[in-house]
Amino acid sequence: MNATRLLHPDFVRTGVVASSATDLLRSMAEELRQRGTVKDSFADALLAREEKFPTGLPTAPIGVAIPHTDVEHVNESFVSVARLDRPIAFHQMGANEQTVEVSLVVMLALADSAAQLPMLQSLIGMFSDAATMNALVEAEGSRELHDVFAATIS
Amino acid sequence: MKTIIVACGGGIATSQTVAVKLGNLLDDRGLRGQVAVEAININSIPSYLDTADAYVSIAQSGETTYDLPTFSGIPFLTGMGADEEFDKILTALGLA
Repeated sequence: MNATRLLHPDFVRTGVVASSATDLLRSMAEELRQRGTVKDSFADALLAREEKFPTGLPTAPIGVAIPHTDVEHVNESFVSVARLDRPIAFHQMGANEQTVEVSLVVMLALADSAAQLPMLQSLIGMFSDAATMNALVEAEGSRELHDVFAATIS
Repeated sequence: MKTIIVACGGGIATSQTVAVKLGNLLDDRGLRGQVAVEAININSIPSYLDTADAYVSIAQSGETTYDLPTFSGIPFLTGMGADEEFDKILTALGLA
Protein backbone atom coordinates (compact mmCIF):
# COMPACT_ATOMS: atom_id res chain seq x y z
CA MET A 1 0.00 0.00 0.00
CA ASN A 2 1.41 3.38 -0.88
CA ALA A 3 1.02 6.84 0.51
CA THR A 4 -1.35 8.04 -2.15
CA ARG A 5 -3.90 5.51 -0.96
CA LEU A 6 -3.38 6.28 2.71
CA LEU A 7 -3.76 9.99 2.17
CA HIS A 8 -6.32 12.01 0.28
CA PRO A 9 -6.15 15.78 -0.25
CA ASP A 10 -9.73 16.11 1.04
CA PHE A 11 -8.61 14.62 4.34
CA VAL A 12 -5.61 16.87 4.92
CA ARG A 13 -6.90 20.18 6.19
CA THR A 14 -5.45 23.44 7.43
CA GLY A 15 -7.15 26.22 9.36
CA VAL A 16 -9.34 23.74 11.22
CA VAL A 17 -11.28 25.21 14.13
CA ALA A 18 -12.21 23.06 17.12
CA SER A 19 -13.48 23.79 20.60
CA SER A 20 -12.09 20.65 22.21
CA ALA A 21 -10.14 17.52 21.46
CA THR A 22 -13.28 15.42 21.86
CA ASP A 23 -15.28 17.52 19.39
CA LEU A 24 -12.48 17.42 16.85
CA LEU A 25 -11.94 13.68 17.16
CA ARG A 26 -15.68 13.00 16.85
CA SER A 27 -15.91 15.14 13.75
CA MET A 28 -12.82 13.60 12.09
CA ALA A 29 -14.05 10.10 12.97
CA GLU A 30 -17.50 10.85 11.55
CA GLU A 31 -15.98 11.95 8.25
CA LEU A 32 -14.04 8.70 8.07
CA ARG A 33 -17.23 6.76 8.82
CA GLN A 34 -19.07 8.54 6.00
CA ARG A 35 -16.18 7.70 3.68
CA GLY A 36 -16.58 4.02 4.62
CA THR A 37 -13.05 3.90 5.98
CA VAL A 38 -14.08 2.98 9.51
CA LYS A 39 -16.94 1.17 11.21
CA ASP A 40 -19.70 2.77 13.27
CA SER A 41 -17.86 1.70 16.42
CA PHE A 42 -14.69 3.63 15.52
CA ALA A 43 -15.48 7.00 17.10
CA ASP A 44 -16.43 5.63 20.52
CA ALA A 45 -13.53 3.18 20.51
CA LEU A 46 -11.07 5.90 19.54
CA LEU A 47 -12.31 8.28 22.24
CA ALA A 48 -12.21 5.54 24.87
CA ARG A 49 -8.66 4.68 23.92
CA GLU A 50 -7.63 8.31 23.88
CA GLU A 51 -8.90 8.66 27.43
CA LYS A 52 -7.02 5.62 28.68
CA PHE A 53 -3.92 5.95 26.49
CA PRO A 54 -3.72 9.57 25.35
CA THR A 55 -1.71 10.42 22.24
CA GLY A 56 -0.61 14.04 22.65
CA LEU A 57 3.11 14.46 21.97
CA PRO A 58 5.07 17.49 23.21
CA THR A 59 6.89 17.96 19.93
CA ALA A 60 8.44 21.25 18.76
CA PRO A 61 7.56 23.77 17.50
CA ILE A 62 3.95 22.53 17.65
CA GLY A 63 2.35 19.70 19.59
CA VAL A 64 1.08 16.68 17.67
CA ALA A 65 -1.55 14.06 18.52
CA ILE A 66 -1.84 10.67 16.84
CA PRO A 67 -5.24 9.30 17.89
CA HIS A 68 -5.84 5.70 16.83
CA THR A 69 -7.63 2.57 17.97
CA ASP A 70 -7.81 -1.16 17.43
CA VAL A 71 -7.93 -2.67 13.94
CA GLU A 72 -11.33 -4.28 14.49
CA HIS A 73 -13.01 -0.85 14.11
CA VAL A 74 -11.38 -0.10 10.76
CA ASN A 75 -12.31 -1.18 7.23
CA GLU A 76 -9.39 0.30 5.34
CA SER A 77 -6.12 1.87 6.48
CA PHE A 78 -6.11 5.62 6.09
CA VAL A 79 -4.59 8.76 7.58
CA SER A 80 -6.60 11.93 8.23
CA VAL A 81 -4.83 15.18 9.09
CA ALA A 82 -6.11 18.40 10.67
CA ARG A 83 -3.89 21.40 11.31
CA LEU A 84 -5.37 23.93 13.71
CA ASP A 85 -4.78 27.66 13.79
CA ARG A 86 -5.42 27.70 17.51
CA PRO A 87 -4.11 24.71 19.45
CA ILE A 88 -6.33 22.60 21.67
CA ALA A 89 -5.37 20.62 24.76
CA PHE A 90 -4.76 16.89 24.51
CA HIS A 91 -3.62 14.68 27.32
CA GLN A 92 -0.02 13.63 26.95
CA MET A 93 1.04 10.17 25.96
CA GLY A 94 2.59 8.33 28.89
CA ALA A 95 1.69 11.10 31.34
CA ASN A 96 -2.09 11.20 31.40
CA GLU A 97 -2.35 13.97 33.99
CA GLN A 98 -0.38 16.40 31.81
CA THR A 99 -1.78 18.20 28.81
CA VAL A 100 -0.05 19.34 25.66
CA GLU A 101 -1.23 22.09 23.31
CA VAL A 102 -1.76 20.37 19.98
CA SER A 103 -1.86 22.08 16.58
CA LEU A 104 -1.57 19.01 14.36
CA VAL A 105 -3.86 16.01 14.69
CA VAL A 106 -2.99 12.92 12.65
CA MET A 107 -5.79 10.38 13.00
CA LEU A 108 -4.66 6.87 12.13
CA ALA A 109 -7.16 4.36 10.85
CA LEU A 110 -5.19 1.11 10.95
CA ALA A 111 -6.72 -2.01 9.45
CA ASP A 112 -3.60 -4.14 9.79
CA SER A 113 -0.99 -2.71 12.10
CA ALA A 114 1.77 -5.17 11.20
CA ALA A 115 1.51 -4.32 7.50
CA GLN A 116 1.41 -0.62 8.31
CA LEU A 117 4.41 -0.65 10.61
CA PRO A 118 6.97 0.84 8.21
CA MET A 119 4.50 3.60 7.34
CA LEU A 120 3.84 4.26 11.01
CA GLN A 121 7.52 4.47 11.75
CA SER A 122 8.06 6.96 8.94
CA LEU A 123 5.04 8.95 10.05
CA ILE A 124 5.97 9.10 13.71
CA GLY A 125 9.57 9.71 12.69
CA MET A 126 8.43 12.95 11.02
CA PHE A 127 7.61 14.42 14.40
CA SER A 128 11.14 14.09 15.77
CA ASP A 129 12.72 15.66 12.68
CA ALA A 130 13.09 19.43 12.99
CA ALA A 131 13.14 20.14 9.24
CA THR A 132 10.00 18.11 8.63
CA MET A 133 8.22 19.70 11.58
CA ASN A 134 9.02 23.14 10.18
CA ALA A 135 7.67 22.08 6.80
CA LEU A 136 4.46 20.89 8.48
CA VAL A 137 4.10 24.25 10.23
CA GLU A 138 4.96 26.37 7.21
CA ALA A 139 2.99 24.51 4.54
CA GLU A 140 0.49 26.96 3.12
CA GLY A 141 -2.86 25.37 2.61
CA SER A 142 -4.09 21.82 2.47
CA ARG A 143 -2.36 20.84 -0.74
CA GLU A 144 1.10 21.78 0.49
CA LEU A 145 0.50 20.07 3.80
CA HIS A 146 -0.69 16.95 1.98
CA ASP A 147 2.47 16.98 -0.12
CA VAL A 148 4.72 17.12 2.96
CA PHE A 149 3.03 14.00 4.33
CA ALA A 150 2.96 12.27 0.96
CA ALA A 151 6.69 12.85 0.49
CA THR A 152 7.47 11.19 3.79
CA ILE A 153 5.12 8.25 4.22
CA SER A 154 5.56 6.67 0.83
CA MET B 1 22.59 -10.28 26.25
CA LYS B 2 20.50 -7.56 27.88
CA THR B 3 16.82 -7.09 27.11
CA ILE B 4 14.86 -3.86 26.91
CA ILE B 5 11.08 -4.12 26.77
CA VAL B 6 8.99 -1.32 25.29
CA ALA B 7 5.28 -1.22 26.07
CA CYS B 8 2.36 0.91 24.95
CA GLY B 9 -1.37 0.51 25.36
CA GLY B 10 -2.11 -1.52 22.29
CA GLY B 11 1.32 -2.62 21.21
CA ILE B 12 0.09 -1.31 17.85
CA ALA B 13 2.07 1.66 16.83
CA THR B 14 4.11 3.54 19.31
CA SER B 15 5.93 0.76 21.15
CA GLN B 16 7.09 -0.72 17.84
CA THR B 17 8.24 2.67 16.65
CA VAL B 18 10.20 3.31 19.84
CA ALA B 19 11.70 -0.19 19.66
CA VAL B 20 13.03 0.49 16.16
CA LYS B 21 14.39 3.85 17.27
CA LEU B 22 16.18 2.20 20.20
CA GLY B 23 17.58 -0.42 17.81
CA ASN B 24 18.98 2.34 15.60
CA LEU B 25 20.55 4.08 18.58
CA LEU B 26 22.10 0.77 19.66
CA ASP B 27 23.49 0.37 16.15
CA ASP B 28 25.00 3.85 16.34
CA ARG B 29 26.86 2.89 19.51
CA GLY B 30 27.87 -0.52 18.19
CA LEU B 31 25.83 -2.22 20.92
CA ARG B 32 23.20 -3.96 18.83
CA GLY B 33 24.67 -7.39 19.47
CA GLN B 34 24.51 -6.93 23.22
CA VAL B 35 20.94 -5.73 23.65
CA ALA B 36 17.63 -7.13 22.48
CA VAL B 37 14.65 -4.77 22.20
CA GLU B 38 11.12 -6.13 22.33
CA ALA B 39 7.89 -4.20 21.77
CA ILE B 40 5.09 -5.69 23.84
CA ASN B 41 1.55 -4.98 24.99
CA ILE B 42 1.37 -3.36 28.39
CA ASN B 43 -0.63 -6.30 29.74
CA SER B 44 2.27 -8.64 28.94
CA ILE B 45 4.78 -6.90 31.19
CA PRO B 46 4.49 -9.34 34.13
CA SER B 47 5.63 -12.23 31.96
CA TYR B 48 8.81 -10.33 31.04
CA LEU B 49 9.84 -9.30 34.56
CA ASP B 50 12.27 -12.21 34.96
CA THR B 51 14.05 -11.69 31.66
CA ALA B 52 13.98 -7.95 30.99
CA ASP B 53 16.69 -5.59 32.22
CA ALA B 54 14.97 -2.29 31.47
CA TYR B 55 11.44 -1.10 30.73
CA VAL B 56 10.72 1.79 28.39
CA SER B 57 7.20 2.99 29.08
CA ILE B 58 4.89 4.83 26.72
CA ALA B 59 1.51 4.17 28.26
CA GLN B 60 0.86 5.14 31.81
CA SER B 61 -0.11 2.01 33.69
CA GLY B 62 -1.90 3.62 36.62
CA GLU B 63 -0.71 2.59 40.04
CA THR B 64 1.25 -0.39 38.83
CA THR B 65 4.99 -0.21 39.16
CA TYR B 66 7.44 -2.90 38.25
CA ASP B 67 10.68 -4.02 39.79
CA LEU B 68 12.61 -2.94 36.71
CA PRO B 69 14.57 0.19 35.85
CA THR B 70 11.91 2.23 34.03
CA PHE B 71 12.41 4.96 31.45
CA SER B 72 10.23 7.22 29.36
CA GLY B 73 9.62 6.33 25.74
CA ILE B 74 8.31 9.79 24.87
CA PRO B 75 11.74 11.32 24.07
CA PHE B 76 12.16 8.68 21.37
CA LEU B 77 8.89 9.81 19.76
CA THR B 78 9.47 13.55 20.01
CA GLY B 79 13.25 13.49 19.50
CA MET B 80 13.69 15.85 22.40
CA GLY B 81 15.94 14.47 25.13
CA ALA B 82 16.34 11.16 23.32
CA ASP B 83 20.12 10.97 23.69
CA GLU B 84 19.92 11.80 27.39
CA GLU B 85 17.26 9.17 28.05
CA PHE B 86 19.20 6.63 25.98
CA ASP B 87 22.32 7.31 28.05
CA LYS B 88 20.35 6.65 31.21
CA ILE B 89 19.17 3.33 29.81
CA LEU B 90 22.72 2.33 28.91
CA THR B 91 23.89 3.26 32.39
CA ALA B 92 21.19 1.07 33.93
CA LEU B 93 22.27 -1.81 31.67
CA GLY B 94 25.92 -1.31 32.66
CA LEU B 95 26.84 -0.45 29.08
CA ALA B 96 27.56 3.26 29.39
